[in-house]
Amino acid sequence: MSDAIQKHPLETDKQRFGIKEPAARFDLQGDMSDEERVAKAMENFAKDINRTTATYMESCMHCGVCAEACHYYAQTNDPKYTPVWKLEIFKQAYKREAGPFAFFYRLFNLKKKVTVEQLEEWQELLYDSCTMCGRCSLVCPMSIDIATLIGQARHGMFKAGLVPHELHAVAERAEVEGSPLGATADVFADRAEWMADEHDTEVYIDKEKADILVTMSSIEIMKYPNSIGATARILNALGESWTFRKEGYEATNFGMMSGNVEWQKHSTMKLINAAIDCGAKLVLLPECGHAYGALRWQGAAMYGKPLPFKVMHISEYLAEVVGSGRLKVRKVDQKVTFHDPCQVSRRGGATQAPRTVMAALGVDLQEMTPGADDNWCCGGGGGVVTIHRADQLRYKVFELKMEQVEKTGANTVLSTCSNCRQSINDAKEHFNWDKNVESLLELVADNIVEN
Amino acid sequence: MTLLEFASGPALNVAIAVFIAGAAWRLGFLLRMKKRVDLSDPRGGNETFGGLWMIASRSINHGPLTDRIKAPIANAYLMHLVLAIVIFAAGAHIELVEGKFGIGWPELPAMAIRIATIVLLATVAVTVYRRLRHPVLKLLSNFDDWFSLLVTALVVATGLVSAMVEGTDDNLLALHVLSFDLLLIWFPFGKLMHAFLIFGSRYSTGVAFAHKGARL
Repeated sequence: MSDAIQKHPLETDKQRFGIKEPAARFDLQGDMSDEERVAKAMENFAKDINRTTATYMESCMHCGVCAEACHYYAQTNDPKYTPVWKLEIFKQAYKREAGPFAFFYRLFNLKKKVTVEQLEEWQELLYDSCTMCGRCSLVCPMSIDIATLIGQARHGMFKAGLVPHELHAVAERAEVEGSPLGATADVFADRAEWMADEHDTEVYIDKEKADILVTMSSIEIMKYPNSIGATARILNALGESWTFRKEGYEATNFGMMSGNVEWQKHSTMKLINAAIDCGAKLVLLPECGHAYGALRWQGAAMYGKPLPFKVMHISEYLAEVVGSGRLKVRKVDQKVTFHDPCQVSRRGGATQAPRTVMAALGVDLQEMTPGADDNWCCGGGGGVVTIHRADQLRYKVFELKMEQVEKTGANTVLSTCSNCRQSINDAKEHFNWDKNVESLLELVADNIVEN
Repeated sequence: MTLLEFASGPALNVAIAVFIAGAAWRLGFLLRMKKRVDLSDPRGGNETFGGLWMIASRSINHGPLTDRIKAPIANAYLMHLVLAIVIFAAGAHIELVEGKFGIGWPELPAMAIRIATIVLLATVAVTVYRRLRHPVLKLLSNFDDWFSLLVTALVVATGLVSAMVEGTDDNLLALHVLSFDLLLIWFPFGKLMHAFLIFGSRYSTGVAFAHKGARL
């Protein structure tokens, strides 16, 4: 076990999985001079600048409309949470160092050099108070995709060693151990075996050849292991050829969330190689929002060419098999509401899939207002749920979600993201809230009509 | 050479040259940058259509906005509408373009242009007020925002005064043309460029969202 992991023990008995709240914070990593930190931040931010992102950097009109769509601003009225302000120092650096009139900006010192103090100040804005939910992109009159730019800024922050302590720790654990939450290959195999017994079904691991490579999120493996059994029951009921692979079972990608592109690529390549090794035609992603973005939309970029297999979120797969009638489900007489994971719905395009599944289940779906693509984020995405110092702000933001759910009159919140589920459960405990959050996958598995 | 002749002659020519060169440089700089190629399997939507649709639809659909932002957005719409009327439908402007480029089109009555100009100034005043008062706008605003508003207001105000004052002397009109020259020179360097950038920015996001099948 590495020093890093010994220094950052996990806290697995709480609703929110992650490392224990540190006695002292270490939000500054590595041994670099201030100048080096600034240079690394800017250099790694600049690496990703392309025509689209440069156009975004040039286009902001400072209209402030994005603030109105951000849950952090909506709940605090603090202007520093204006989404585009979170990029201000990177805009400043872009104009001075890389923009079309950089020469003039430098010559007349029209934009000052970014300082390490600014970077340190912006750490909170780029990590603690942005879930990269992309709601701001829906309202920007210029259609600037601010969430993409935040991800790019995080690349710079990581290389500058300016990542919040806990997020860095879990990302490092994922790189070193293979899982951010201790779900190593052996732990996973044990839990899969346990779930096979619990669900009285076959769980396949390391089959040499299979049509479907199934993956799980670390939160599911460690906190909601029934996802393993539920997925197995559904795939077995359909007679699919499927397997987990111990060299690529974990779809969580903390490299992506923390801003380390190398670690992101490493995690992604494990899945890609596992799928290629077993000849999978489909990689099935778990109930996890960012895992979907990491492989479905960013996987090919990491691979350097189109992926040789199809990638689906579990909700898309369920919609396909339920919609086509391949999988029959019993009707469920229950009033529910649905929390759309931002990365699957708004930013992933799979908004309709869970609704197709819920329609087949016959649940009484009470949509939130605003709902679907316009839904408010749970506040835990983008790695925010791992950061202890962000807890109070996260709970404040969650009050929006509570209000939304209360208005639907439903006692059960369904979702298709284990990170959302974890964030909601943590906030539920904090507020002593009487609503339940459940997995759509598990609801389907519990209501399969066996042939 | 009178001040008016200078303003509408050499000064205007220089301003047009700076405007064209500056805008071409800024846009060309962006077009020369590497293009992001999305290697992921598209969901199936037409991406070009998505880009074009985003350009059009974002002018109408403002997504999940709260009520408190609707009035400022309405103000922005009104500002752009009357700005277009004042620029393109005022007889004097059409004459100027016709004289320089030989292209003309029908004009609106002078009174309609005056009303539109007054409305335009009012919307600019609302924008200035909001920038001074609203915490978010106070934080975001920089020299570019204020200078762009100033040169715009200057052109509009001098144009209104020169059109309204009976028997106005050439110097008043020259001030209007000079302020327009200044606006043209400033245009490519500041936020006024959003008139062009809006197409690239919206199109890029429209393409990316259509690729993923996300709502445009």
